[in-house]
Amino acid sequence: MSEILAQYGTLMLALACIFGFFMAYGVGANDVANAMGTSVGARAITIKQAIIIAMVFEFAGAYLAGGEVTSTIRSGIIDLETAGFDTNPELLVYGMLSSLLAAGTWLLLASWKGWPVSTTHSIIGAIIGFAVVGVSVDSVMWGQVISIVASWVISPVFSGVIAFIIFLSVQRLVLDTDDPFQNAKKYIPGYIFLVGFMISMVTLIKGLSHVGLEVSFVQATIYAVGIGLVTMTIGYFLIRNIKENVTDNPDDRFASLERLFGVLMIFTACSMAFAHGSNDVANAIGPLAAVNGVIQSGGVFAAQSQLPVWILLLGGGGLVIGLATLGYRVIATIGRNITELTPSRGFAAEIAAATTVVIASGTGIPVSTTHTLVGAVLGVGLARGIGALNLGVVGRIFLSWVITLPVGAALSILFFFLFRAIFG
Amino acid sequence: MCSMKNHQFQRKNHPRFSASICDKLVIKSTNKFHYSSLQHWFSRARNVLIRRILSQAIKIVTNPIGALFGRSPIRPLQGHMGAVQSCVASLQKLVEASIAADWQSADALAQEINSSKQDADEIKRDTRMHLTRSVFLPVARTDLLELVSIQDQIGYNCKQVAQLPLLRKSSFPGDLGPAIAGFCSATLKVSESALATINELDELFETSFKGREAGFVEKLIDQFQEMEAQSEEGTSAIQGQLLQLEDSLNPVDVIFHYKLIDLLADIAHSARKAGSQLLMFMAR
Repeated sequence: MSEILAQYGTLMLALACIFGFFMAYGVGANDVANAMGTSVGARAITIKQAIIIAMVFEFAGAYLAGGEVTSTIRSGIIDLETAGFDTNPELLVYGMLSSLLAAGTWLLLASWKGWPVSTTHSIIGAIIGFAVVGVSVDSVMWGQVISIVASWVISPVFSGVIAFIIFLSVQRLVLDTDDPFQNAKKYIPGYIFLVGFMISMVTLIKGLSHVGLEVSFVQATIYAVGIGLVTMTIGYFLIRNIKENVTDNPDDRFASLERLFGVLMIFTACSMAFAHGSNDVANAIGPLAAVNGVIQSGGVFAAQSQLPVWILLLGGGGLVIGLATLGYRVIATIGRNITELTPSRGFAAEIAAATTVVIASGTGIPVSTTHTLVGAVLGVGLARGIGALNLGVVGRIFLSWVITLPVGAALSILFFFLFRAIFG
Repeated sequence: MCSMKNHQFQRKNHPRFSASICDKLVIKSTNKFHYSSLQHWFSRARNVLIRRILSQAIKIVTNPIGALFGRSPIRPLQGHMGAVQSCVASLQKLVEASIAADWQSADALAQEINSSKQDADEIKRDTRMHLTRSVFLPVARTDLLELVSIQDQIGYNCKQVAQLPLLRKSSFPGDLGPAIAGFCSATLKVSESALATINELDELFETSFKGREAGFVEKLIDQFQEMEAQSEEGTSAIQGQLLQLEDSLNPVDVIFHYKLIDLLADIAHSARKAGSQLLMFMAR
């Protein structure tokens, strides 16, 4: 066992907990708002409801399906043996601490300046940065990194395509018919089933081993259909009592229809929060898990060790506290900005984004929930669904990628050498 | 602790504190008389802190999702047509007042047209400013801009027509007065229909320009195309009447009357074009 770890191990773990908690806090304060903002903006749920949904489902997502991405971040980017962490385990601790600190600093700065940076990109950039400069270029598993970076392009495109198809199906089945209201009543439970099925299917297949639940593919399918049917039944009872409000006012002609889709959007908001929790909380607790793994094992790094539950709880807790203290304000403002989104559009975007992100979480790929949602909204826009979209945002997102990776890396390198100088 | 409660109580009931947060933060000096200077410093420091946090929270908000959604041009477009339509409505009254030689109310109506046109121009400018190239719309941007121009043309023609009778204060002998008044209300009907059709734009958008709603709008467009055909017939009828009267009238008056009829026909024609432009939105 390394002497440095024996001497400072507890202090380092405490630092990692504090940094990880604040990262989770930042994710809760800022990123959750993006996941929930569309539902609030479409007037499907109130801010209060959004916060309650987010608290429950973000936490559930982090706890039930957050394991895969966490293990990617803690041991899927750096090749631990090539990096020589067997002999110098404290280097990994410095690196992960500095990654958290770097990503946190950069996010704080970017938020202050109003730049649309992603937590995911910051942390990945930071980890690569310390590994390349602090350890060696070979220590980074470049194949993995390339597939992660590729997924940042693929995930918005993928969710855009799904959103486009789902919205086309809404046009075909509901909007483009003689009686949209009755058709909406008929088909909305089907969409609700789809939401419940997709989310639970991916979670069951990929996520639940750490809770002690191993299921086969067939079992997972059966359970997922069951969960889908339960959510569908709940949805059916919720929309059963909504009556078509026939008015002479031509401006209200689609109001009743949108009320039906508003119910659907409650379910998609839940799935969105779940998806976000399953992917983004790992940014905060992945490095923490790595530090904890090294220190608990006394320097013998076991890549496949179980993720302790308290780490998931810490991440989920930080996220919820961030949401409760600062995130609600951000949700409110985003909700006010989005005035042109109706529930019949918003749900299509949210199903698409949530499905994409949950699949990524199941595969262990860290993606940006916000960018995936932007892709989904653009998909609905392509199907002539949205009044006006500022394509300038897409350019800003690309720019933020180009800036975030090197800056995250540079800050992380700086902190890495700082920690090494302090602890020796 | 007790003094703290008391302090909050006073703040709540103090009329100047019951205003918005911003007002609370601005007030500095009046507290001096109520609290010891330490408490005063403490509350100010707290206020500054709250203000800092608030402004940070607002800055965080400049994020992709919030910025992604632009302002839909559909409602401004409808607002523009509404303002243009009130120009046409006032114009009809103005023509009637001129036929009755009631120059005072004609003057007032011309003022009304001017102010409606000004409203329309403001909406027009605003709409054009927001339709930048980076805005992605469900319809072609050029088609939208074209519709704005057509609507603008109606308003412009109204302003022109309004000047004519007031400038010349010419009389409308015999049947010419009622004929022109009738023609004018036919024009008004066409532009009313155009407005009604454009007001369907948001419903069209809601159904993504398809299905039953699209059929409904096509029917509306057919209807007022017919109306315009009738008003065109009206144009030649009045021109025929005017031809008969030509010799008995002051030649300059005759020119003015022809001009009036022409411009009124232009209004009906532009209104019809505005409606047809919606067909462009549906056909992609």
